[in-house]
Amino acid sequence: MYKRRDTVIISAGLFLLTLIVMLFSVGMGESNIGAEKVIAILTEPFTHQAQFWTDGEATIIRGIRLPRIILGALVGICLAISGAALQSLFRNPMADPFILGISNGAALGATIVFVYGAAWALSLYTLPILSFIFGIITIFLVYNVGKIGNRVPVNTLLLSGIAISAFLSAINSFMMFTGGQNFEQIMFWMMGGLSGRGWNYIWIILPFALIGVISMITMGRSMNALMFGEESAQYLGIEVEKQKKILLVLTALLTSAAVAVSGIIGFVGLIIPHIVRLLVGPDHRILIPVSVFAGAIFLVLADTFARVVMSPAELPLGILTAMCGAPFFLYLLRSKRGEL
Amino acid sequence: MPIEVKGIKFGYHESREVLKDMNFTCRDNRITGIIGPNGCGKTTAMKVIAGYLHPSGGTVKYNDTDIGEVPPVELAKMRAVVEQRIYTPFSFPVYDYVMLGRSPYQKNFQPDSNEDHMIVTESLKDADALQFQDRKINELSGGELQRVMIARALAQEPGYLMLDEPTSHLDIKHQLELMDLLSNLTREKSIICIIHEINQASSYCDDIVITKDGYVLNQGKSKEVLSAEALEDVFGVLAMQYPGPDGKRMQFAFSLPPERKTEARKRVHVISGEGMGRQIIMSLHSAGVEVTAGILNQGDQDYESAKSIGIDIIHAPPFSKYSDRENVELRKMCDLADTIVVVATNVGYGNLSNFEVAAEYLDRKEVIFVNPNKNLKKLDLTNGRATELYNLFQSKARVAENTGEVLEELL
Repeated sequence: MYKRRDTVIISAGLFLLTLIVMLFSVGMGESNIGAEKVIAILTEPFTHQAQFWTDGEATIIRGIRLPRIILGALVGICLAISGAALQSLFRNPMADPFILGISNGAALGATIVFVYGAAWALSLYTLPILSFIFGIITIFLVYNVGKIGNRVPVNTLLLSGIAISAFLSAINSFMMFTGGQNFEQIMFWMMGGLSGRGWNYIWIILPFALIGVISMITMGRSMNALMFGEESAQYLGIEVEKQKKILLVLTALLTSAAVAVSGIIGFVGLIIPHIVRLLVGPDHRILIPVSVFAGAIFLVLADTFARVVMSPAELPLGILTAMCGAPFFLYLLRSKRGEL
Repeated sequence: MPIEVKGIKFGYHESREVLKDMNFTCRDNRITGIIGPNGCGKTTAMKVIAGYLHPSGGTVKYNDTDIGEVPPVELAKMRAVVEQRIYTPFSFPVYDYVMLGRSPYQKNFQPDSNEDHMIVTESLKDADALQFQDRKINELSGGELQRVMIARALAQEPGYLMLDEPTSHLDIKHQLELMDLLSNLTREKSIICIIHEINQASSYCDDIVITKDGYVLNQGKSKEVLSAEALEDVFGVLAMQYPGPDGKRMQFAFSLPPERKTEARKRVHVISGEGMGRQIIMSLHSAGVEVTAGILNQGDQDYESAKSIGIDIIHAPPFSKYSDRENVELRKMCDLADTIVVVATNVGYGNLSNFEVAAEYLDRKEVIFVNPNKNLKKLDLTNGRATELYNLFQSKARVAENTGEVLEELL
């Protein structure tokens, strides 16, 4: 039985855990900085305590690691709840923004900005807006191609996602290839990662993440109803067409924002909701809030691992998540007879 | 607050209309059963009436309000629908699924209230699903799921409850319990129910709507609408009717119509009883043979079936020995008949004369002896006389095992 109190308690606990994980990650890296020092550096503007750290350490913490980790948490949040929403909408536990091609669609939008960037400088938000436009076109395309009658069966959905994703990826490569000078930069960005992202990227993604999280948390009940099919949901008084469009737009928004700041980081939307469902059940009233924190924790940890494992070199985060995520996807596909 | 369906049309593709012109009314506090052959648009009609599909023509009105003008949330407070089946890959708890029935009454982010919890528990109890409340929805069997779906519909507290074949996955006890529950619910609700089991429809539905090919063929009180004749027309089967256990509602037995018909004016007299002969009587009648029957005691199932098709019957009062007058009648009928069909039944002194008379014709007429189990296992309450007669039939008459073989012999 669902209890609001459980959700609040679990969310509060996870919020604390997320803060701890972020704090721990800020200290980790090529130069390890102790927790005491990290806390002191971060709280200095409020406490005005005597400085017992070097200016270099303060710059690493405040200017490099902290924005990167906050950004990682936000990207994790966006991807995780996009996955959860898509899975409820398609009534299909295999749905994920990357597998369905939204990430590649958004990436195509971003590549256009990189290649022809200067042409339309719409400030900071050119990148996410163009990503969003392409992301949303992709998801509607995949949805309509995969739809048979009133249902979206798993096989046609995955196939249409894979095919459209491959097509977009090809156009993307073509543009990179012919685009010339920025090839390596785009390539690195496409592999997905948070390396070298500063505070301005946080301002790009933050509004999208906020809108997405707040809307989806309030839509828990509708998402629950949609899990039993559009007809069922309609009988429960849900304006199905409207809700469906809102969810698709929100998902495209969240994914595109994530892609715009961090490139393609796949499988987070698949792994996180799945694990969360195993822990707290499929009720979206708890699944969404818990996925918010689980997504944040997962991506922060994964990024820290990517920073540290081959230090001083860095593993692109997208490669890491694909390395974990793809086998996980295959495992799900094999055990799909079982319950999720 | 009756539901009025006026001239609705609907097609999934423009070229093919599933509903062509449907008109009917569902009265308040009644169970209205919708019956009709497969693929005639019953489920589609229900989806239109429930407001999920929008008709391309016509209107559906609940209590004079066109449902096209009612917002979905308000509609969800007025009516609940139990679909044939729902599917989800996720292991959602049964209790929370039933709680979804409360969602039309809840704001988006509002927690479930105590009242909601009470209503959900009550609904689970009513649908006999309380024992599943902690299980997962995708782990239930078909029958269990059906009861849980009904609980969810009840939690919506609708004025109209619409069910699409609600008993299709239930065992016989739960079928009867559900139909009883629906009957009780009519105190405060109106119920529309697609139903395949005609005898259930006859026993429980107050009104019946017969649909076929996208039209409503007939509607009205079930006693008036449901008849063997109407069912034969709609379903293309042979139907026999007899009074049900409560003595008021009709029950029906069905069989496939004979494949061949005869043009020759043949006359056959059937001697039977205990309901053993009704299929033969119906089939021969339907194949164009002039059938007579008897001697049958009034109230015998064969008598009721034969009466329902209006053939000549020699009848005796219930539970009494056949009198000389009836035996004379029987000889007259046998004289007129081209063939006499004798169906094996239990024999006592009451009906013994049926077989004594038939035996007289063994050398004069074509006699077919229908003996369903090759070894005669019928009760002989006549100190061996009946067995003697049966052995006589077995050796001298043409023997058939079932209705099909009788038809083969005759046509």
